[in-house]
Amino acid sequence: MLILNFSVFTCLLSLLVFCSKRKHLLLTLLSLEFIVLSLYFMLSFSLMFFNYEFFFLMIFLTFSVCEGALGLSILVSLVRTHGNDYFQSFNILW
Amino acid sequence: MSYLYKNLFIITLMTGTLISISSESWLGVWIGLEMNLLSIIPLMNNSKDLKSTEASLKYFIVQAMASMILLMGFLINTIKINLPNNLLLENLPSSIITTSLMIKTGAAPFHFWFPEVMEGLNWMNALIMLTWQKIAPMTIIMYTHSNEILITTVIMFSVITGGLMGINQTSLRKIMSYSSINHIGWMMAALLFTETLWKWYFLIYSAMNMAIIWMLSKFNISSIPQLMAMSKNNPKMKTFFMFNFFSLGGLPPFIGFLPKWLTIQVMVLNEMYLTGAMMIIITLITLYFYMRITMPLITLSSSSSSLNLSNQQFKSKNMMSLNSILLTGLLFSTMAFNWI
Repeated sequence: MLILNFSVFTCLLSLLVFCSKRKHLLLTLLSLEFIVLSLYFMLSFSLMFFNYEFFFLMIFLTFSVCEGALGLSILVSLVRTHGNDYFQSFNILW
Repeated sequence: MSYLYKNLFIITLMTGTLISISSESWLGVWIGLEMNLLSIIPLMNNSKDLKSTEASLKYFIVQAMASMILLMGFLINTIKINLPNNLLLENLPSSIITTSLMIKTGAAPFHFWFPEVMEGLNWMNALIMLTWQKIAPMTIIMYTHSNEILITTVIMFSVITGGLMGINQTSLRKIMSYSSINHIGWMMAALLFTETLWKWYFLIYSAMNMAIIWMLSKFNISSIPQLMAMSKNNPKMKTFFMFNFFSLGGLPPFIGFLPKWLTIQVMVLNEMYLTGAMMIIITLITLYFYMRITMPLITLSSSSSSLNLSNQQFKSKNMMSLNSILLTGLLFSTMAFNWI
């Protein structure tokens, strides 16, 4: 029960950190990794109910690493087009 | 030849959607949605284009957050089911899951990313965003039997914002995305009751969008004043364009009326009178801004346009036949129901 409360609390906290206003895009990508970390904890806890089938953690890590790499490549693409990674300058789509 | 990788990503995009709508466990749903996200970003991104890069950034941030919330929702669900004496609320996990899927679809209180992302895409990617990207989240919303109050709230929000926000727009991508938000409201109402109804609504909506976006991408139009240049010496195209927008708004002789008719019927049968009446009334606003696009094309003379496409008489048999089938579809389906 304590573990459940702790993991839910960590998830909500990481979502809060992800959604809060940042100056750089890189910090948002970093807090995306914080969400992944808290979900990793929660997933490893909940996989105990599925016969300790911890192999799924491997798949989870693969997909989350792909997602992080995709975020970084978007960051590179943005730096090439905009010149910086400030959220202030991402406003041409309004 | 250098764009050969796009074929691969289109295949994995479709595979991701099919995995997520046909998987047995929630983790498979998550994997499918992640595959979908990982393959749409390289399709829409163009590293030499300012707009598409920013659009892919915004899409990535929102979708990554939504899939993380989705995973959190069903992990809480798993732990809650298996752990005795927990203190969590009864329908908290299903509400979390439904909300995250609504973020993924772009339904109304969570719609703010959607017009901005649409603004930065070219028309083909916009068509994918309007149609194919809606399949997986809406199907999973249909599988998750969430509480009706949440879905009804989202329906009302979607219909109202889709109607009101589309009024003062000049960009056709923004208009199409707000009309899509309006239609998402209707599709939510359809999937609350029957799967088949949602399927038909989605199919007809996709076909109407395809007909409109085909014309817009053929003539490379992205704002309302440019429509004048298209319609200058092209009366057939102009008429089809206008009828397609009437069809999208749901005027009766065209096919767009059919799914709305069926949805209204099902909602009346299930005694959702107030929601249904509000949806019908507010969709009139959507019809109003469709008419504001198309009415100048037939009433005003377009001699002031600087672009001249007069030598370019456009003829496409495929486009003509698609438009003809779509616009007369309601008559044919009525005849099929009555005489066969």
